[in-house]
Amino acid sequence: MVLDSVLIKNVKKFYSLGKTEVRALRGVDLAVNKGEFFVLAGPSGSGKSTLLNIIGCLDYPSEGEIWLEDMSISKYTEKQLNKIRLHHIGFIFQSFNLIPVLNVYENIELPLLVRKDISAKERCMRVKEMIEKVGLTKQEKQKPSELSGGQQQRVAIARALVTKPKVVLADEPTANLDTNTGNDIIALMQDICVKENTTFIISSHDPKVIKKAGRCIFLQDGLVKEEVE
Amino acid sequence: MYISPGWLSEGGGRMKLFGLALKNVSVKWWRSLTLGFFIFCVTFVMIMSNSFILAAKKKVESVIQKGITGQIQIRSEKSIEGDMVSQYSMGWDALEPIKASNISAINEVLKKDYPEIKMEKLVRQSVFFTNQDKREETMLIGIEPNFQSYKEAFILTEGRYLEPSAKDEIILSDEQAKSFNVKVGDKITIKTKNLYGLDSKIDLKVAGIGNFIMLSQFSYKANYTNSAAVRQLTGMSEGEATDVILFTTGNKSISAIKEKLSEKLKGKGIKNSITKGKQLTSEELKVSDISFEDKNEGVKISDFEEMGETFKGVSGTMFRLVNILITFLIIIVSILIINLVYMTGFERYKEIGTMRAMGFSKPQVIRVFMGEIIFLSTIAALLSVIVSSGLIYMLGSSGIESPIPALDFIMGKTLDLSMDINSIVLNLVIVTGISFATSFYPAYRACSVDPAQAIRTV
Repeated sequence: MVLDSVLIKNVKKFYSLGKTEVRALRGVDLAVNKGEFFVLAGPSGSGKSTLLNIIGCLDYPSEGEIWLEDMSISKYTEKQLNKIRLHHIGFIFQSFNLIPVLNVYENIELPLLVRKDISAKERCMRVKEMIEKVGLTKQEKQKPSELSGGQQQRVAIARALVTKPKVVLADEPTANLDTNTGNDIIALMQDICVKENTTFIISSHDPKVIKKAGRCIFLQDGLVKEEVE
Repeated sequence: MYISPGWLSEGGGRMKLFGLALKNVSVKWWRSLTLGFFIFCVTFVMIMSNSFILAAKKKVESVIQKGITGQIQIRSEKSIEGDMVSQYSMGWDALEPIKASNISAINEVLKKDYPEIKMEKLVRQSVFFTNQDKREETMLIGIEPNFQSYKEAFILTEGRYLEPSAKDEIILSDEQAKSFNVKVGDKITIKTKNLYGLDSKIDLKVAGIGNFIMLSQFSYKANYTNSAAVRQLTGMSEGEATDVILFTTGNKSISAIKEKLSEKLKGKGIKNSITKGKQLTSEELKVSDISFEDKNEGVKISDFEEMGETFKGVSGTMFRLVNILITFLIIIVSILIINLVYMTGFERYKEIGTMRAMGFSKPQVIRVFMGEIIFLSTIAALLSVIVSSGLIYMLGSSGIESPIPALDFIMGKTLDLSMDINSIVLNLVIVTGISFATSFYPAYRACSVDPAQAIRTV
């Protein structure tokens, strides 16, 4: 049996905002295959980021089940989810979220520093390999403030992939980039998705991203409105 | 810094995280400098004040030893007083003489077994200075002509020290001279009860006026005169004394000397005991006032640890007062550290969220924060140790003289600062320990952010 990379069953998420209850997700079912370039689309407030946070083990669902390959993670403790994030999930953020005092190499190396199963030699090898893949060999020693937006997002992609995660989650990765740079970043992510067979789940309302998606679901008011192949 | 093997076995990952902490220190250099400066100041104040107090304590001890107690004291078994310096035990009038034969025996033992030990005889008596309308109690210390070390304890502001051949001279404190309105060359009347309980009186000429170094700060009242004058006043015979005080040289153990001396004296048939100073009760005072029986066959041997108890208590109080001030300083620095770590936490809210999202555990992020604080406080404290130690060494070795000669009696002629390695290490541990303790909670709070919230913050 071929397992789905991510399987979501009737996931609901409710927030309390003062006396008001906000229903961010109202029963989402979803299956993302391994190596898929998957896009979560929808307007602001549709529940994209909430769903992404739940898949990324940053938040708990109020109801429902989530499977990451063969692991049912909805009842995991904070410590267990931490470990899942460290070993199996990579994050790419809208505003890159690089550590300003570290250079390109050090930023990419950062998640590996707390991995006890990776030696210094392997760490160095992986970082070099990722720097080469995202085309930043010449910028290796530069700080984020010395890089363009596109270059910073490349560093963020390399950082997300250096741990060889099962799933990469990207929250509006092109929102802070111009059209050409955005296209380059999508192409890079797609290329890695194919070559590394890594699952990408991207939250975006950028038509360029949606157009490139292998599969896309449209969320509206916390529910899947439409699914497009 | 101690690096556990675990740090190295993870491919130096933890060391690299520590590197991140160091980079954060250098990037926010202004804040680091502020925090470092405060830690530097606290450590500096702690070390310098400890050194000053230590110097003052040593000075007081030296003054008491040179001027009054010596290092070992032999007194009559019948003498009842707490310690030789106390102003409050009021036991000076319960002093009994040591028999002349006993003093000769002590002298013989010392000459034979401890030729390097210097022996001095004191004849002390509680007396009153009087004139028509005043009466003030003091301790009269009668010294032998060859006793010179009192000059290092008592600093004259006018006149001269006692003439060895003179038998009717006295040295007064500034306070006493003012109180009785007497000058150098004037006479002052002294009254007491002699050994037989009868009133006794003598007029002595003021040879000099001055103050005991530091002791005068505590209104300590004692006056030097020639031993012959006190013997005449009390009715003691030639050769008798209330105290035999010994000055040792070298590194010989005082307690070992006491033990051996006690044995030797017993061998010569002199009953003696090595005893702790006994505080006088009011009941004992009454008894001693009316007891004139001559039963002073034996002697008791004590050392400075017992005889300087009163002033050791005073220096202990000084230590405590300074420590209270230092505690206030530490509280201020602690508040500063807490604020700075809180601010850092707010500033790095997104950074912390990112690290947490990547899979860093809370303790791992806390370690980065704590690394910054511990590094900063250790460097600042070490720098402070180097600067303060250098200053102490410089001031201590150059023997800077008191800027105002009249203030000699406060710290002595020179500023003799000294270092105590144990106290420096303790200060270092306290400062870094406090930095650790105060930064932990704000660091923990900062690292407890919800990563989902934090990564959304722009």
